[in-house]
Amino acid sequence: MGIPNPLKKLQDALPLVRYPAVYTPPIWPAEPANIPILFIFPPSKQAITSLDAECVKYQAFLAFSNYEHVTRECHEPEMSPSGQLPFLMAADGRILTGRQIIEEVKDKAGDLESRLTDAERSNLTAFTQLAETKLDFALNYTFPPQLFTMWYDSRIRDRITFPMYESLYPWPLNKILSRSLRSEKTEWMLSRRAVLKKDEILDDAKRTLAALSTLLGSQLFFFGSKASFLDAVVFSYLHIILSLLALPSHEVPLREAVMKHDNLVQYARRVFNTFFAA
Amino acid sequence: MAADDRVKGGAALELFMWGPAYNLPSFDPFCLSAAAYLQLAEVTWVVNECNNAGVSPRGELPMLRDSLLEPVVTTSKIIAHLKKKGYDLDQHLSATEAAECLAFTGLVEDKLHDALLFSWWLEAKNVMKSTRPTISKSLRGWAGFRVPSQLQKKAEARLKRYRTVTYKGKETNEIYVLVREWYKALANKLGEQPYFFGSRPSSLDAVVFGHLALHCIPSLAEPTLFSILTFEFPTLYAYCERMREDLFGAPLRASANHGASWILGDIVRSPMVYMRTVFSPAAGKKEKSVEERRAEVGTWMSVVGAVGFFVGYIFYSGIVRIEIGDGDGDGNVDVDVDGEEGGGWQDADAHNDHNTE
Repeated sequence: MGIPNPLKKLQDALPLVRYPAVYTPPIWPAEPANIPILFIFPPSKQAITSLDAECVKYQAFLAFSNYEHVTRECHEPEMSPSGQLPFLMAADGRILTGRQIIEEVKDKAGDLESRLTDAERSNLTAFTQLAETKLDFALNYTFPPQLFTMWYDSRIRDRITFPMYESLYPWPLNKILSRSLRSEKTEWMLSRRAVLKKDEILDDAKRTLAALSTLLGSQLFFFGSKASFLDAVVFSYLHIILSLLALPSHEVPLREAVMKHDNLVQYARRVFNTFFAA
Repeated sequence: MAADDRVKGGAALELFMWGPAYNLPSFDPFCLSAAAYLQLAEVTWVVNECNNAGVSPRGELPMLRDSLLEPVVTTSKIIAHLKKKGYDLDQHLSATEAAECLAFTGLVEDKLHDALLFSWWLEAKNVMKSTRPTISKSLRGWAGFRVPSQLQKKAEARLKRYRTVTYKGKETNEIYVLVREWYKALANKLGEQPYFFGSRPSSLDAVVFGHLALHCIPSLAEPTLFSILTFEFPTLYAYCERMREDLFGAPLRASANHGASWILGDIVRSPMVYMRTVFSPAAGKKEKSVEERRAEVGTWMSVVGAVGFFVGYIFYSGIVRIEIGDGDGDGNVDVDVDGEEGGGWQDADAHNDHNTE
């Protein structure tokens, strides 16, 4: 029995056609790269180091360890398993973040810290945490208005921070995303401190810098003549503070605090020239 | 009575801190650090257990009140204030040691605190069975319901960045891997010395004790930190136990401002804590002289005597009379108040009669 006419007409009007599958690029890169790739937040136009302290830290650590790798720019933190840049795609395709990167590098390129004594190792842990918490707080997060912070000073925010993030996305996404990022940072900060006061945070940073300056003394690196993870951490913050916060219009208090310690400034310059300038 | 034995408010430094738990004077590591510093520096001070961080202008505890000056809040500021007053434990440190002291203090206050918060507030078993009930009990009244949830929420926000990793073939949170590293740094620093910088205590000792003492609590439902400490870092554990004995072996002196003025409210809100305030050893039993004790016994005797006399008089004069025996032949016990001849019982009888008709 044939299909009744009106229905057939309708079916003819809506033909079922099977199109070839839409092309989706393979998960990139298709096969494990032969060389590890470090994904970092994009640097500014003329610089080689990332604009993000966390990324500079790992760039420096990889450079210190002589770990062969290439860097690739990436401005989407969600690409990383931890939700934070940077991440390393190892030669065998594993994706590593944070401590896993350090372990991988120690595995492949040798442990920078194997020569340290127990006392030096415990100092390494303590000073690394100190720099990571206090300087990080002072730099990225907590600079309330008059203090010219990356998120709280209107001048720095409008000149550096927002352009840095806003240039990555089209309007209006850029406005929304950079503001949601800011509120996220605020929330995280408030979970660490009950009250955000500029003087306290700057004081903490100043004391940390003084302690680091004492530890460094006139040595080449923090623990003698060879670099360690602490050097990577301290260099990343010093470098960002000295380069990014150098504004022609006015002096940023945090930068001023760093400039007071001559050996730290020399140290940052020396490390940059040795490992990044070439 | 008891208030006389306590130090009057204003005469000594007064530390406002969260209440006791787990056999320690406070459940908050920062309050405990401040208390440990005061003890190590041999300052005369009194403790005021708070129920509410709102007493402090910053909404944070510990808070130190030094006579009429503005109160000092947070551990680091309290330590700085005491140093200015001449109670400086860090005087004997060299420049390098002072830098190390700062670095280790940072490590303990930022990182080890994360580990503690994780074990207390993000381990579901601990929250349900150990921390929440213990802290609720330590607080008075509504604060017992309110504060633990606040603490938990804060901890969750703070610990967002820690991830789950595989360690020695087991899934565990990153923090338990990291905490071993941190303990190791501290254990190396301590070595075999009595204190972190040789034979004399420093501010680092106060801070480390304040935090580590709360790490080694065996009675938690999941005492992961305790087992790491005892099995892998026995020196740190021994250090904590020794410090606890040295510093908080004797009861602390309670503030006169605490208790006396709040008595009524306290009894209503939480009788348990009220009893603790009144009958705590901090009220200073051993300081009582013989005369005082005699006076106290006299007071009690006279109270008992007065009550006994009153009751006796009531019965003697017939205001209240208890009759046992059969007045109506029903075997009822009649209690007659003020001579009314058992009206209530007669009503009941009448009612019964009515039903049987």
